[in-house]
Order: sequence, then C-alpha cells, then structure tokens
Amino acid sequence: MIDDRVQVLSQDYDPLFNTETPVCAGYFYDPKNFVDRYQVFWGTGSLCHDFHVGGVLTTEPHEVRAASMLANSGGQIYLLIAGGALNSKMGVFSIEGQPDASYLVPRIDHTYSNGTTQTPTVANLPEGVYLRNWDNFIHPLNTAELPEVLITGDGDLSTELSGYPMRLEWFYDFNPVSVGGGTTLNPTKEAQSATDRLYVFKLGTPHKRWFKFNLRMRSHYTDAAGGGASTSYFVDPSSEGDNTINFYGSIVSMLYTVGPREVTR
Amino acid sequence: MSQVSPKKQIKFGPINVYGNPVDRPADTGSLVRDFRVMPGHWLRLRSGRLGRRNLTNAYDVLDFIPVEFAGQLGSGTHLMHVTYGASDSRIIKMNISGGTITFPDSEAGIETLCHQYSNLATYKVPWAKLPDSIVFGNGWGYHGSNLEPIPFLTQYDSAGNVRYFGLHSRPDSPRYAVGGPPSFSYAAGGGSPHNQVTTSVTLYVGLYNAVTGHYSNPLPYPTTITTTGGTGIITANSLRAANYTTHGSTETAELYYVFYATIDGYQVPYLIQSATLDGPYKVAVGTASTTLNIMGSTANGWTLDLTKRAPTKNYPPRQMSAIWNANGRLYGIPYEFYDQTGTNDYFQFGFGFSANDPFQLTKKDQGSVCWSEAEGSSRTQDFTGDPLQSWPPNNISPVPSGERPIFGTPAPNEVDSLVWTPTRTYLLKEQSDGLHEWECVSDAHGLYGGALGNGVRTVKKTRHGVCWMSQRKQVMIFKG
Repeated sequence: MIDDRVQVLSQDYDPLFNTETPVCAGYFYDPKNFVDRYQVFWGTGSLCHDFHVGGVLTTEPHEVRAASMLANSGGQIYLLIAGGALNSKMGVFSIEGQPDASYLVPRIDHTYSNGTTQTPTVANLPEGVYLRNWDNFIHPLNTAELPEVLITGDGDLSTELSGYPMRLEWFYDFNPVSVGGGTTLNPTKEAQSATDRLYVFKLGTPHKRWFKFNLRMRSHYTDAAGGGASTSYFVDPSSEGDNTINFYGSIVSMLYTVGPREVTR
Repeated sequence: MSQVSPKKQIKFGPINVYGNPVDRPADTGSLVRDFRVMPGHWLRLRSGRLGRRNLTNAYDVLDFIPVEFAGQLGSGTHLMHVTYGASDSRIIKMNISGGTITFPDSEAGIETLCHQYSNLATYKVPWAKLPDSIVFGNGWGYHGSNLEPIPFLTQYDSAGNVRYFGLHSRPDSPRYAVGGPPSFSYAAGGGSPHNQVTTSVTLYVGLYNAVTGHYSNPLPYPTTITTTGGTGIITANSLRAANYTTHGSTETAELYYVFYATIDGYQVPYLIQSATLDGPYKVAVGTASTTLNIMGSTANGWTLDLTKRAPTKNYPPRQMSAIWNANGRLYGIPYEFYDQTGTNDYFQFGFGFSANDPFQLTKKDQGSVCWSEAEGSSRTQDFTGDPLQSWPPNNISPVPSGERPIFGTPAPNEVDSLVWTPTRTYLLKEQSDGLHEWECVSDAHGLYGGALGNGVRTVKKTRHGVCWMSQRKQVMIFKG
C-alpha cells in the first residue's frame, strides 16, 4: 500500500547510484538562477533531482558532509555545504547564487588544502558530460549518414586549455560506450559570423543505424570572462546571449542533418 | 538514396535509463554529469563552490542548525554540529555577516556533547526549532549506573543563553552526594511571622528556572508535619537533595528551590508564594536550608497559589535519537544509548527519584514515539511550568508495525508528524481531543539506514514536500 501522497522521484534513474553510499542531502532553492533541487551527496559526487527538469549527477572535489540554506540577519539566503576530507579537514562553502555577488553563480571550485589555512585553492570545474540515449534519426531498418552536427555554445579555442572546451564524442550501432571511448571531434567555427558561437562537428561516416552523442565541456575560468563579469562567476542566466562573450561553459542548441540514407529492407 | 533532410534541433533533458534502451523518452541522457539542464533544455556547467571558512582541524560536519527565531528573516548566528576527533563533538556557533562566515569562541562551542552514553560523535545531533530557541540533544540524560542528573536536551535561546531544557532532581545521584532526601525541622516558640500546623501538612521541594518559568516535579518530604500544637518555625533542610546541574554561573543564577505544601489537613500540594505574592517563594540553588515562616496572618505561615498545583507531569526529556516540533508540541524517538564500549546498555531513562522507580522505560518503548506536553496545555488548564520541557512517561505511542522508528519530522502541513521505520512511512496525527493516531502512508518505503545513520541526514523539507532516501536508495517525496 502506498498513499498517493508518497511518490518515487528517482524512478527514471534509480540504477545509477545503487553502489553509492549516501552521506547527506540538501534542498537548494535559488529562483534567481532557476535552482530548485533536492541533492543527495556521497563520497565523490551527488545526485541532483531538479523538481522541474529531472535528475543529473555531479562529481565533487571533496566529500560533502552537510548541506543547508541559511539566511543571515538581512534575510539573504546562502546555500551552504560543509565538506572536505573526513577526519582531516572540513570547510564551509557556498554554492549557486551568491547574495554578496549579485546572486551570480561561481564557475570555480574552491577547496582547502589543509585543516588550518583560510586561503582556498582554486580549481576548474570538472568536465561536463552529456551522454544522450541512443538516437535513430531514420527508420531503424534503414542506414544513413549524419554529415554534421552544429552546436551553439562555448566552442572557441581556449588559451588556458590550449584546446577546445567543447568536444563532441560519438558512438554508433551499439558499440561499447564509455566516456572517452568513442570518436572525439573538435569543433570548427561556422563561417560568416565571428560572434554567433555556432560550431560544426563533421561526422561524415555513412551506413549507420544508431547514434549516440556525448557532449563534453571543459571549464576554463581564466579565459576571458563572459559579459565582462568576474572570472569567478557565470553571467546571470537571464542575460545569456546579450553579452560581449556569451555561453561560457554552456551549450544552448544542437542541430543535425540526416544525409544520404539507404533503404536496406 | 534519398535527399539530405533539413537540420533538426535536439533538446537536452535529464537522465533517463528507465525502459527500453532504444526507445527512451526523446532528448534524455543515459549520463548527465557536471552539467545543469537549464530550464528551456540547454546545458551549463554545474555551479562551483566558494570557500567561506575553514574549520580548524575538524574531523566532520554532521549538520547545520539554522537559527530563525519568530519574526526574523534569518539570523547573524547559526549553529553547526562538528566533530574534532573520535570523542570530541561540539555544537558551535557560526556567524554570518553579509557573506563573511566566522566561528566565534575559536570553535570552542556552546556545548561539548557527551559521548559516554551517546552516539553523537558520529550521528547527527537531534534538534528542533522553537519560536524562541533551538533545543538539541547533548548526549547526557538521566540514565545509567551514575544516575546522571543532567537533562538530555539543551536550549540555545534568542538571547544567546545556553541552558538545560527540562528540570529534574535525583537525590540518589552519586554525582552530588548530598546525603539523602530532604528533611525539615520544627522549632517551637517565637518568630514573626511564624508557622503553625493544625492537622497535617506535607511539604515538597522542587527546582524552578526564573527565566524560562519552568518547574520540576517536586521531591516530597518523607515525613508529614503533624499538629504543631502552637506556633514556631519550620526549617526546610537538605535542599541540595534536589540536585541540579548547569552550564555555569549564568544558568545557576536562573535556578531556585521552590516549595509546595498541602492545604492543612488535605492531600494536594500547591506552590508556596513569596511574601509579596508576586511569584513563588524561592531560594537560590545551593542553599542548604531555609525557614518557611514567610507571611503573617496566614494559617500555616505561607500563602499557597491555588492556581498552581505541584506539577506531576514535568518529567524531563528522555534520551532520544530524533526530536521535532509540530503543532505546538515536541516529539521524539526514545533511544537506547550505550557506553563507548558498546556493551553496557543504559536503558534506564530515569523518570523517577530512584534507580528502582517503576517509571523506567525499557527496550520495547523504543519502538515508539513520545511527546511533550503541548503549548496548548497551559491555555486549557493551569499548567505549572513550561509544557515543552515536560515529557510525561505516558505520552508515548508504539509504531503500529512494531518496528523501531528511525527518524521523524513535521509533515508538510506542520501539524502532523512524518515518522520512518526501516521499511515504512507513517503519519502520526494528534486528534482534537489530544489522542494520537497512526496512519501508514507507505508500507513499501522506509528510510535508508547506513552504517552511520546517514539516511537521517537525507531527510529535507522542500517547497514541494518532504524528501528522503529510502532503504532501496530511491529518492522519495511526501507531498502531504
């Protein structure tokens, strides 16, 4: 018997953390940054259940041991986590919108290197991974070529990385899938406009039935900041697209074309 | 071979690994990691974290305790449960001014938790928010071979004061060897005002906190004062038999001995008033004795406040693994604490005045939820003391399944209580007549346990309902 007031939120992704050991959870509500999620932490990562979108995972530089939203005497609400290395060092960190920084979201990870220093170590965020489910862009009995994928996002060559922040990895026809185990492509800037942030990934392999894309995004906080803001923060999401440099660490659209196809049956 | 089709747009959605692997919902991922799926189906790297303050050589942080007293948007000071070693666990203050976080008092803490009888070195401390204070477990409690006279709960109030929550006396505690029960002496003769007993009077002595207005259950004087046959002076002796404990001089200065007496020839004791009739007659704790010739032109030498019967329900909070505040009442889960070796079982929660008191709680009581008197108790009757500091032993109800509850919290309506066992979720509802009734809302989903009770730390109230992680590591919500 289950009362209809009780619901399973994780039914779409239940298997993903079967082997993890939950430590704690937090509820984070930051409407200025469209954050409304329940987040369960374990030693090296977390599960975020966004109440409007669904589930995603994170990796964490240090183990998170406690989480809460606390309001100071002025009513400004900080989304806090406490974490570090168990039995060695623990610090208090704020995530998502920072009330003392116009509610901008940090695009760096701070950690404390020992149990006494108050100067945090700065690091890039971990690489974002978006591995889509298998796509069949035509009838599954037919084969086709996907000549190219066009992505609008943070694709410029990074000075910090000496490479591209955004990469596309792809798999086909149920070959083994693992992050880094597919064919990885770098972007090429689409011509005609220098600022439209549109990049092309040339696949050009014919006779495939099933496709799986992995969009990867590396953090590169020391490169030029988006919109003139500090290198420590993302721009306000409501102003994305309106700044000098847009879409830092972001992918805002992905288009594909289906090329020549073959009816095999 | 057909023509190249026009470009089509792909959207970005959340993880979905449910169902047919070649027919999952459109625009979902089998792995989405360190990206946020933003509203409108675009991707952005997850938020980073800004270091606000490093704790000094801390081992672990077990919980934040948000402080928001009634009428405030927030607070400049919150509390945290932090461990600094295998047997050093503290409730410390965390100041937040703008975005600057500091830990005052060099992280010394407002309370160092007792580990000898508790698991609070590794389990998050039970705490609850009241309109004017935070109360939390300190790991002590009335129990064990030492018969510790220390209440299990500590209060941190809006003025920043720390005191024990609940009052109780244990004259047989070896911690304060004071020499047995209280006694009185009667000296015939002069004195003004004077005492006189016509038929019989029984005296009681108890503890009183003048700041919180709470009274302990009083200790009876073993001997009834019979007819004195004339006037004289009654001296109450051995007051220190009414044991007390405090956090220091500030709390000690809040505590007093107060006295109760029966109406001459009758059986029900009432509070003895001061000579100015503006409160109880009280003497500072630590005083050895006091004379009770308080007021002239009275039957016995004192005036009784007939609206204040000697309390009989003001038992202190027992040891509990969780506490919460719902609908004007504090609730808790009785918990059996062991000593550090894990072998000595301190099941005796100690409600009475001696080790053999019949009001002991046993293991079977741990399959229950207990509760304090309610704020409303003081409005529907003349309740002597603070109802929330008063936990009568019979305010308890067993979980219907017979399981031991793991945790409880206010339901989203903040009237009922949500209680978890390892395999079930219940609502505990108080009816208008004060009776409590259980309702099973899921007999399939309980609360994740974990070696250190981590499941308790996954329970969070959200604006959509109360979320938790079940025993199968599923993310659950009760929308109530």
